[in-house]
Amino acid sequence: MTDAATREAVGEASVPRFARGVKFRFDDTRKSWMVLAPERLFLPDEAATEILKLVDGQRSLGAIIDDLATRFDVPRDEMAGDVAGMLRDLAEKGVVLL
Amino acid sequence: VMSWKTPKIVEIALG
Repeated sequence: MTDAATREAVGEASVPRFARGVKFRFDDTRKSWMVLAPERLFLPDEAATEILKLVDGQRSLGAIIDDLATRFDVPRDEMAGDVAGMLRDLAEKGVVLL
Repeated sequence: VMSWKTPKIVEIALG
């Protein structure tokens, strides 16, 4: 699936949010962010963490892409592929709702 | 200072 097809499948107007029972928080012991889900733990790298910090149930996918593309000076199309791809994977695992 | 790279997430099963 191309980046454009991925975004089309998700839809930039959709507002991603964490599923019920899923928590995204900073772990003082590991000094890193993590996603706690039933019977599973997700350890995001720096880029993934920056995306997840913007998943607040209020920002649309498009707004998240705009924010990160501007902040990191990355072509919007590239950023859109990364963000939509990651969130779609998490949605398939039941961690994020799109 | 952080350069953007494709996001990666490691999944760990707790069960």
